[in-house]
Amino acid sequence: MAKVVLVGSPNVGKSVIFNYLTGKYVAVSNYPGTTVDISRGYSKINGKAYEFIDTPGMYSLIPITEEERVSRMLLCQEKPDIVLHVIDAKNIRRMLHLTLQLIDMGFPVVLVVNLIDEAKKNGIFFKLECLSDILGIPVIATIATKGLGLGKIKEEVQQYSPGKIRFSLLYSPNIEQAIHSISAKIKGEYGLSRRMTALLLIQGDKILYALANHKERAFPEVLAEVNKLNSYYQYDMEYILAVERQRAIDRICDSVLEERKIYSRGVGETLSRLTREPVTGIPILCLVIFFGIYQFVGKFGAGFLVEYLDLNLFVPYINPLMEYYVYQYIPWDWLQSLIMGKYGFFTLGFRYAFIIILPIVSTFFFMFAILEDSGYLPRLAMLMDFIFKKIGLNGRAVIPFALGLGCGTMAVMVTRTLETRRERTLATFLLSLTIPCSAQLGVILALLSDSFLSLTIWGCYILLIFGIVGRLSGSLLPGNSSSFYMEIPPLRLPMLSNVLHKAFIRMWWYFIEILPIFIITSIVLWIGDRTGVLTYIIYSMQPVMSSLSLPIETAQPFLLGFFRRDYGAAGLYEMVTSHSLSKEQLLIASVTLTLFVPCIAQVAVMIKERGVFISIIMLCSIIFLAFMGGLLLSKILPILNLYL
Amino acid sequence: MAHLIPIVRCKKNTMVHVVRLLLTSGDHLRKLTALGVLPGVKIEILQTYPAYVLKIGYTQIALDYEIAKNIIVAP
Ligand SMILES: Nc1nc2c(ncn2[C@@H]2O[C@H](COP(=O)(O)OP(=O)(O)OP(=O)(O)O)[C@@H](O)[C@H]2O)c(=O)[nH]1
Ligand SMILES: [Mg+2]
Repeated sequence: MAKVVLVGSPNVGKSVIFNYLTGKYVAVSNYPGTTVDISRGYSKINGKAYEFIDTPGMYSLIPITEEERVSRMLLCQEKPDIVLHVIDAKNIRRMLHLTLQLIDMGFPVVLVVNLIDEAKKNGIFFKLECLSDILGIPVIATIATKGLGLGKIKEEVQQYSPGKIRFSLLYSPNIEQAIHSISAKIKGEYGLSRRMTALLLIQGDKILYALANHKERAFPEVLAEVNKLNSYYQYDMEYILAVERQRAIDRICDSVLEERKIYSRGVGETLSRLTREPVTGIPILCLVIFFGIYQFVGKFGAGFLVEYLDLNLFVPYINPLMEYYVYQYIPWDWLQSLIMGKYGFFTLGFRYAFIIILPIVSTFFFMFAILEDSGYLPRLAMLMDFIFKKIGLNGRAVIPFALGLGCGTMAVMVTRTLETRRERTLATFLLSLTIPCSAQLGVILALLSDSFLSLTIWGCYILLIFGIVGRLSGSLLPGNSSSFYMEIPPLRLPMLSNVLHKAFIRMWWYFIEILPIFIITSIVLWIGDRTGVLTYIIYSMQPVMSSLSLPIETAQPFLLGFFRRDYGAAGLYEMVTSHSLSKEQLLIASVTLTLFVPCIAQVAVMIKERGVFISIIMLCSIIFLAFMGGLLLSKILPILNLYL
Repeated sequence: MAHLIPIVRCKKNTMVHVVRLLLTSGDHLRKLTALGVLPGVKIEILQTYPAYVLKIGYTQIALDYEIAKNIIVAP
């Protein structure tokens, strides 16, 4: 099967095109670093089967962040039959660097010039046949979101035959000479052309160094060549080569571009300025949090929808119906209790999942998709940069943290967009400790929203812990923090179809995640209940609960919280509806559960991304910190003597 | 010959062009080249606080002081 790989800079529309070509859906959002892992899709064009691969965006072949590394590794391992290089038309001068490098790598490249609509708006027009002639590769103009030109990509893929003449970029004579003598010395196979192998070695590419060091017998001689070349220049070779490439690219662009300076400062630019200047940006952020999260997710999703479904659907219809059938047709007491009992998977699993968690998660993902597609997040990132610097991270971490408010599992994956291991570890830890996921957040907002003071205390307390723990672990963890750089894409009007599709896919994914867990949880608890182990555990948790000044029944939500934090929160919801918690106790329990261990899915991703050892240390610290946090609050609250 | 200054000394809303980049760690240089900050490129300074927002070609990029100070420009 022919393999077609989509590569390119971040945020240029690769995933939109991938979705079109394969009929699948991978997330599309308006910020760099949406895709952090590889997706594969299969489809037939005129009866012939193709495999398409979507990759995380990369700025250059030599990776800065983890997800760029994923793409680079893929390119060298897959031996693609066609590489579709997707570029942003308006930034063609920056984008062609990768095209030229891909050609130098010996790949069969097809250039997809996307976002033609935005280029036009900026007054840039192209003579693409001309570009195609110069580069000797097919060039296709597209507007992916409107579906324009995408059919052409299919045609091109189908009729593509490699072996046309290629553009070859010649660097300065002494560089060319070094390339020549290094490539003569290389014997190993690295999934790229000899020329590119030499070029990457010259630029000190770490991935290739590690490989070549093993494989090449003549590696010391190669190194000697590299060092000799380096000694001619003051700057890193990567920079020297980029400058030389830019000269060649500018020459090409001068003959294929027509730039009519259109100086338009539309509504978009004004809005963009308002969101990124602190004076207006911070009030806008507060509005987003108040309306988007508090009103829409907390009040509407977790408050109104949950209550509505519960009181108008579950209590009067679904529950009696189930009860009727279960008690009528199932003779065995054990099966009855497995389904309908206190820990039965209907009472516990179904109700929590469908009536409490589903409405909250879907409202959150809907709201969040609008934010993502508008391009607000990168602006938030730059606004928050200086605050995140204080805890040893930088503005780039804003995006995983914001995602973490939706689902921590997704967020831990997205920490790949951070540069250093230290930052990724720190972000993973803080995500697991302090960031509640949407389901948990929604329930807590709804429960605490009766008392504004409680809600404020909860929010400030969690922020305080975020700050203190971040600061402390930031100074304990070895390694450097890195400087902040980020491309700020134009604000775009979110398309309803994409917003709904993305929200739905995420919700579904979330569901598939929790489905087996809720069944397992209720079975485990049911067994525990039947054998008496559960009573024993709850009994033995009594000292912990009473030290937090909580009633013994709170042990149950905490046990649920071990399986999933959001279940724990849903358990609290149950206790509040039966009026078995005072306002103070609710606040303490909410704080402790927010800080408590993340769900099993998130732990699995943590282990995958950070390793078992680090994950265990993190989990132990989280349990410790969660209880300490709760304990401290339970001691402070009586002293303050507040009327909640 | 116009005098050269680091971009962090320029005021908001000015137009400058990049003359050279300072010799710093490879990381900074790599990020700047990745974002298209190379000699000869025109830059409009849109914002300087809390981070630098620069308009290069047809996009905007945000940089913190640590990176931005390596860009040497002339008006
Ligand atoms: N106006 C316009 N917007 C587009 C076009 N193609 C893509 N977009 C938008 O560009 C943004 C980025 O699209 P994605 O497909 O997520 O980009 P990507 O290249 O996969 O990005 P990463 O996964 O971050 O590397 C989305 O907001 C799209 O709606 C286009 O042709 N015109
Ligand atoms: Mg993508």
